[in-house]
Amino acid sequence: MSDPILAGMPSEQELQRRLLGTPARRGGRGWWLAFAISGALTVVLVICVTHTISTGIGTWGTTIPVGWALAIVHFVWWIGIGHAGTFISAILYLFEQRWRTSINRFAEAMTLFAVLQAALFPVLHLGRPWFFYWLMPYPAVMKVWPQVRSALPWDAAAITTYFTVSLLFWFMGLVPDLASLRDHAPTRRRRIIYGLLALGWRGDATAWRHYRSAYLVLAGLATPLVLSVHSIVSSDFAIGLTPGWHSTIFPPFFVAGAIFSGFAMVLTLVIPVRAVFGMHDVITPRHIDNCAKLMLVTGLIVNYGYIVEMFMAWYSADAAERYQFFVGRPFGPNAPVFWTMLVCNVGVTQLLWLRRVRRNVAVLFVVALLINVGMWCERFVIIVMSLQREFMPSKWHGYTPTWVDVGIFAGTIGFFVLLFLVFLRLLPFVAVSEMKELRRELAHEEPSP
Amino acid sequence: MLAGDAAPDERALVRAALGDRFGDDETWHATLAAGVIDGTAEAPVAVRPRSDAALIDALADLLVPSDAAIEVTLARSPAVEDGRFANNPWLQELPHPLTKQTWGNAALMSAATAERLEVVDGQVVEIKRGGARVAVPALVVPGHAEASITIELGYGHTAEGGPIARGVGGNAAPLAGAGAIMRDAKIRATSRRVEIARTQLEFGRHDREVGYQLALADYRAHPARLAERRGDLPTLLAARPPSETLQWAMTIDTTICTGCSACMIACQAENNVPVVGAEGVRRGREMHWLRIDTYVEDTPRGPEVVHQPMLCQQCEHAPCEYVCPVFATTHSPDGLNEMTYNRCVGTRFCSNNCPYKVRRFNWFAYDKPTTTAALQRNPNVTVRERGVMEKCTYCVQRIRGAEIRARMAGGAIAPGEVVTACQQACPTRAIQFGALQHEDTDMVRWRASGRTYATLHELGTRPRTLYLAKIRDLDGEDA
Repeated sequence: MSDPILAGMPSEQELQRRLLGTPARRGGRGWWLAFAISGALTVVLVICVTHTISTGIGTWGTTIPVGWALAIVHFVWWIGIGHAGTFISAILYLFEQRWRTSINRFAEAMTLFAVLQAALFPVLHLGRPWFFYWLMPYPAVMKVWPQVRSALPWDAAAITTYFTVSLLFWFMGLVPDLASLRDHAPTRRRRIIYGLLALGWRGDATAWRHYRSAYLVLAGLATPLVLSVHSIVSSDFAIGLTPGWHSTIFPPFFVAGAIFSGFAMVLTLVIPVRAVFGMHDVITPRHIDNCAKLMLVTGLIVNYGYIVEMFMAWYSADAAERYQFFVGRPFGPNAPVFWTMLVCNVGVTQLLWLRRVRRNVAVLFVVALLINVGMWCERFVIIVMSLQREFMPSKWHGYTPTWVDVGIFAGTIGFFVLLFLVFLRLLPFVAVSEMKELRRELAHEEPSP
Repeated sequence: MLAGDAAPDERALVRAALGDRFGDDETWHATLAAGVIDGTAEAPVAVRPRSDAALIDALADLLVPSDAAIEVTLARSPAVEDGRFANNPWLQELPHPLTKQTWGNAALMSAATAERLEVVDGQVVEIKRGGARVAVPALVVPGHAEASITIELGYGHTAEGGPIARGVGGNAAPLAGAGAIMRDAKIRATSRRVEIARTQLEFGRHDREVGYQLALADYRAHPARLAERRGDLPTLLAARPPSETLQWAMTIDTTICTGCSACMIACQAENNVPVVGAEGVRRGREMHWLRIDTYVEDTPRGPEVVHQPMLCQQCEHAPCEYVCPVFATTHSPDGLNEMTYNRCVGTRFCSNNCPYKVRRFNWFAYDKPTTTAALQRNPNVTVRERGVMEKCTYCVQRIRGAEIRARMAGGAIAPGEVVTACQQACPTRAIQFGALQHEDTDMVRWRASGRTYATLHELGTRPRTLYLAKIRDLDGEDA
């Protein structure tokens, strides 16, 4: 307990003014530049998606044997990034980790936007995307329900549940702040919009009491989802026969990897935003340090997963498994991706043992970026490289992406940033009411001199 | 009329041209229906293979040393012959039996010759002789003669060859002088590299349960060597109750399969299988429901090849079925793994989970009708639209046709009545199909052989298609 989680004890009015003031601020030149770039990339996304749907999935690099490639890599990557948000807001809330307060809103928004990107891919990668709803159990006239032994309907259910609960949780947390925004709105139009969203919140004690229980219940609902969603995503692979997929370690391995990459993305976003908005007293080195420590822990679990996978491949004495892990991945097609994964996820992660690295935001930003890259590579290795080297040597084939694959990925990054930029302008990205509450608690514990 | 009959009856013209070889109308119609003229078969000739060790040794003495001047040999293409079939897309996309090259030819050579010329697979080699010049990519073939290059004819057509043949491969014919072997050609490696469109890139078995070859002496000494590669695996699941319907199955003898690939074309014609072009093959998107896997094994006498026709194995415990989220691939009571194209949304999970990699996906709208393609199509087989998965059905349309005929006649399907397209085209009868209940057929008898195995048996998929291992009999291979 070295560093404070709220530096300098700003007054309540000060917090209110600064945190709630962010949506009212005019966008500067930097904001507009970022908006223009991300908007352009979003247009690229629309073009690539249109091309895919009108011409066929053959415009991608997918082939047989590599029937799933970048689309599924990006699906898993984005879903993984989405994990930190719910982890911070639900699990850390239940464990009464007070340092979560200043970054939870932010992380929840990141979750929602990341899940939105992720949800694009399972639909787009279908041969006939217009029939995606056949994976949902709806009362169809054909009376054919999804085939529930397949992991894909579980996936559809898990992602829609996760998105719905994350959205509710995020919105629920926003209600008191929306009411504040309504009360301080400079224009009538804003007052009406924020007023409608605030659902008539007046902030009396009864409302707060109910609000607190509801928030706790939602946190309780969201907590198992953090673990279940990526477990189910991992089943898409683990229930298959493919050497490199057929493994019982996948659910915990995937969950750890998801939280690992999620915290990396939180840091990637929070470090620049903190600098731009001058939020050093609210998001203190303590927060950054805690995120880095969580990255280290989950990163080590991921490293343990690598060791177990390789050991089991060797121990199984199965020709296909051994080839997959000791020849196909390190020396086969696209092998540089495998080595990049090891360097980033195993090598770079060890830097986080050092306090100096965890306290240096510039270095930590680079580390977080590299871990994002490493986790992308991990998904590529698991999905694409496993399929490249399966059971039948006669059907071994490499994989090369096309410009459409790359365009869609760049497009989702653009769309993600675009949503985030709009969020920063329209809503307070730090939970104001919770911060004020935290200030009260802190002031009560150690009265300021 | 001076110019003769303005609108002659075509049928009458054909009959008149053929003369009276068919006699009356009845014989004529019977001949048309049968497709052969009665009584014109050649008399069978009794042949006996000659094993002449002295001759083989004499031939071995003729082998050219590997440092001799490199000779160039021209050969006919196994797919397009001398080029007369070059405008046929099926044959252009038919993989070469040994190199698996489609859409073009190559300078075939041994690994040592490639090293000598300092070329790798796909590097363009320029060959000049007299005023003629041909540039084709180099391709290493295990077992090719040393200091020798083979180029297949029938490629490199100009506009007259037709729209499909134009510009595919290189035309080696102008190199030819008297005789097909040339020792005075100038061979030069260029710096240009091309990606050869091949349907198979790896020819080693890598200890997988595929493409078994056994030395004859070894097989005689250990006839049960493959016993663990077939039959039931330990399971906790209850055995399926015996079925009253006929259970369809296939047995393929890889000893007598020559890799000729007639089955592939027969399957393509029967099942409306599209062609994807060279770029599609490079991306690994060829649509053949039946392919021929070739595995090369080193023996004291040089590399030995086994061809394994690979089609949907119709697994009893099919890995594709449980991963399909929409019930598009399911099991029929008569043991077929069936595709319901209308239900397929195209997740491709089934293909990822198929260890045999026999499922094919419609990456683009391959079903766009062109006049000739529409005329060619088999009306009994559904044409698949963009975005759905497809694969071998054991020619289910022929099975259902036989069932209908049997029901109308009030009888049962006779042994050997249902013949798949691949089986029908196989010149060595290596492919046998039928019902497991018809015990007095080769298909069932073969399954009891000591050299029978299930491909990737260990996975427990219980394939209905079984293979008989190749037995090779080479000098110097003893148990």
